[in-house]
Amino acid sequence: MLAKHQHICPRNCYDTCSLISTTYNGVLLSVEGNPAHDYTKGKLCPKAMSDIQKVYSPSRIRYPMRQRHRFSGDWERISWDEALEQIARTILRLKRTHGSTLPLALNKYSGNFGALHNAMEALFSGIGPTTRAIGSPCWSAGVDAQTIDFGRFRCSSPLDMAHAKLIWLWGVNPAWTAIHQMPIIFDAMERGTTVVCFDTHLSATAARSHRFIQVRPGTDGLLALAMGKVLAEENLLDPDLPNYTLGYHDFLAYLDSEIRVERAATITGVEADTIRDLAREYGQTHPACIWAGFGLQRYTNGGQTLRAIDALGALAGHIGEKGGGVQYGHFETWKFSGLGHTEPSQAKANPVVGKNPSDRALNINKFAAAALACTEPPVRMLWLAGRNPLSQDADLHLWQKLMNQLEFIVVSDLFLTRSAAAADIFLPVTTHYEHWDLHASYWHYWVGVNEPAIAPVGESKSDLEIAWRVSAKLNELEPGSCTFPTSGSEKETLLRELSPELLRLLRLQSPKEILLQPLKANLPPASWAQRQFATPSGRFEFRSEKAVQAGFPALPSYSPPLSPPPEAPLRLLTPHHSSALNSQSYPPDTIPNGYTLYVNPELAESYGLNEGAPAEIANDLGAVRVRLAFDLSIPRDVVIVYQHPAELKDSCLNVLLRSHTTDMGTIATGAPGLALNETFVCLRRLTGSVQRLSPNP
Amino acid sequence: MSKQLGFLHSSEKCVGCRGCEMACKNEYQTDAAPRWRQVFQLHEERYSLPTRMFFSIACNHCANPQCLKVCPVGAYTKRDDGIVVHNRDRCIGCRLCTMACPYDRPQFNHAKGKVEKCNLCYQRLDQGEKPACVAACIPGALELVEITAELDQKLGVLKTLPGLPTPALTNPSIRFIGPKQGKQIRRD
Repeated sequence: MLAKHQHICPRNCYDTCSLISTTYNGVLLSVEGNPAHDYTKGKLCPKAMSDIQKVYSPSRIRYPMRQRHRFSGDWERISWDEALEQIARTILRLKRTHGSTLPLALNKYSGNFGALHNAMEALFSGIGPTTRAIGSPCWSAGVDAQTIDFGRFRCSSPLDMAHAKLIWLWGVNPAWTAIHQMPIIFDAMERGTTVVCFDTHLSATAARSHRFIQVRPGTDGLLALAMGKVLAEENLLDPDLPNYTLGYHDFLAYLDSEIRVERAATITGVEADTIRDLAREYGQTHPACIWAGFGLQRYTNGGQTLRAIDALGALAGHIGEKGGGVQYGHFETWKFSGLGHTEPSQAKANPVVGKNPSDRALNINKFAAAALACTEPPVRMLWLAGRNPLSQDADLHLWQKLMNQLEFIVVSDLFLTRSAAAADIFLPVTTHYEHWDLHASYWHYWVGVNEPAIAPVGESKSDLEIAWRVSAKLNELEPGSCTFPTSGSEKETLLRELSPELLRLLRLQSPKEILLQPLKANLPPASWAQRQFATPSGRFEFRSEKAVQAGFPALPSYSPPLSPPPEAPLRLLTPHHSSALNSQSYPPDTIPNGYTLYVNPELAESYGLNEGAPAEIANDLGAVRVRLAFDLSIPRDVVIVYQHPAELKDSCLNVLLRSHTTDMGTIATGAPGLALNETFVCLRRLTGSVQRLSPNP
Repeated sequence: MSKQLGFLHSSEKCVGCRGCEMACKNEYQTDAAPRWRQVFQLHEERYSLPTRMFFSIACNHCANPQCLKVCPVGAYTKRDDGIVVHNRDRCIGCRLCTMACPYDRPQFNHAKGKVEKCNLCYQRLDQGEKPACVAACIPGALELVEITAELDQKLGVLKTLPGLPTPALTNPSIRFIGPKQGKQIRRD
């Protein structure tokens, strides 16, 4: 029998597509886009289209497993009861031994962004104060910058970009990472809109723009400030600034005394005349929209970069404009009740939920170092969910040390990932075709329910079901040891996740109405249209007291990014590729054979290397073998590897990554972000066919 | 033949996502390896500037199909609307067509020992729907068109792209809108 079900793609992606699956006698047959969605419009990217292959992949783990020795690959199938028993007994023993639940650590992030996946956080809160990874590896500095400037982190509806006469795509590559924005941009171009793309390298989006402006990595903030200075010099400032902004005199004085366009040209690599032309066009075209990507804030000065871009938007009067603004992302629809926390007052405008106030919070980006440093009491058990840190985190040498020291490691995942190789117990989880869930997007305004279309594959279970069962086992062994529910209905739980505020945003009388179809939140399509801001002053704040209190400069200002050390002179950038998402590849089960390093031909020549030559990129942390590919558009001080997973036997790219953190992030996400674009390497020629590479992390 | 259906592909809009490839695979539940439709990157050295441009081709339903010409068992037919249909029941897997096609579009399925290829979703067209690849294209880079003299006279419509075989061989029913290059202000 044929049946249709609705789903939401749960990946950490701008588009958060609405899906419709077709099953035949309980077997998943096809996946299509849901045409009712006005942003994704019934079309899907190949990642979602290969979901069926993922769901039924022969590599997917279908049963709980125990590994006899970590990293040995010596796995045995066990029953859920054995797995739960071992987990619960270890938790209770550690609690008794240390007289505390802080030795228990949870590290979870965006493997699946569904609200019910927060069950893991809620389970840990139910056990007591525990050690938690907090913050975000992704966007923290930019979120803080926008929170400081506007008072609140929000963006216009992505459809609003259609009204812009000038679109600046700044450090964002929607052609590969937010593909549903491309028809909106193309349609605008056909109506005469000019599109300018700022990036460190010629992306697929940059190649389709009217102009591509190549910026030296980490200097985008200075470029924005220099253009702000041009606006001020050429009387292109919004005359209304005194009415809705705070501190603009101070900011203009800073631009006047500290910023020189010619000097900025030298530093950013964008010629002074180009800076002036760009500024004039931006100041004179209304409406003009800036879309700032995540990559440009993944530097040690990333928060200031976004503050400078926000300030540029404000100076030109583009904030609050229909089809204008500085767009980055939003939390506005993430108003979930918070699993296990039945008080709606605890619902936060933040996907980080379920935090116990007495938790020991460790920055997710420095987790290994911080966990190793914990002594009173030490971290003894780690649960990884929706995460693959041994592939994706910095400080892999410290992660390895941590994994060797811990007493007990649980990994819940779909596949035996690089991180799962460290697990004592592996728990198989369900995909979004096998459980109920609730999803919001950080880019568009839609919220929707994910229904199960098929029975869980093998013995896999949802995170919520796993959390219930762990709680049940804990309470069976020691009554009262966990306050998280021990059973329930996934569907009822998801309906309770719709907070009163979310119901109001979705114009719903009762939560059940969300079951019918995804809905678009009732938010103004253009943000800050009334120019009433959520800052302490109610104004757009060029000068921010909140920033000062958090230890940042009061004004958007430029501080340089890190400089390469002499022994590692090349900056390594690792943008997303269209066929991979962090450590997930598409189609599933196809891992590219080794890394390709894109370099300027002249750089390669200076090393005596030809195209296709095997080489090695290395720094003081490790080395990774690469094959060279030439790209004329890459400058000689930058090399690029498009991020994708590596075979477990090979060294992975992140052995080169140290946990430099961004300047900002603590205000809105609890911790600074990861400055992953501040990674430097040297290029080495590989001689001979066999080369000793650094050991696997 | 009353008309000739074909594809119009815009390299300007195609972002290389391969959604069309996957939509085709989903529609026909094909095995992992064969690609009835496939996305390729344009050869950058053929343009004055790096392009990051792609093109997507399936069977070109040529006016002068070499596959049909060489097939010893008559597995290929050309419909009245120009669609070249391959009949898998007749196919003996001799692979002459894969050698004859300059675009490498008939795909040999090693597991099945037979050739398979794009049939322009004629069963969908017959019901008034678009081909699966066209329906799935997010940026609107791929269209189903009728190949006519008027189309060929339109500004910007090309019969081939650098790196593709000369259309004189088979007169393929595909037209291209080539990349428009923006200004690239690069640093050293």
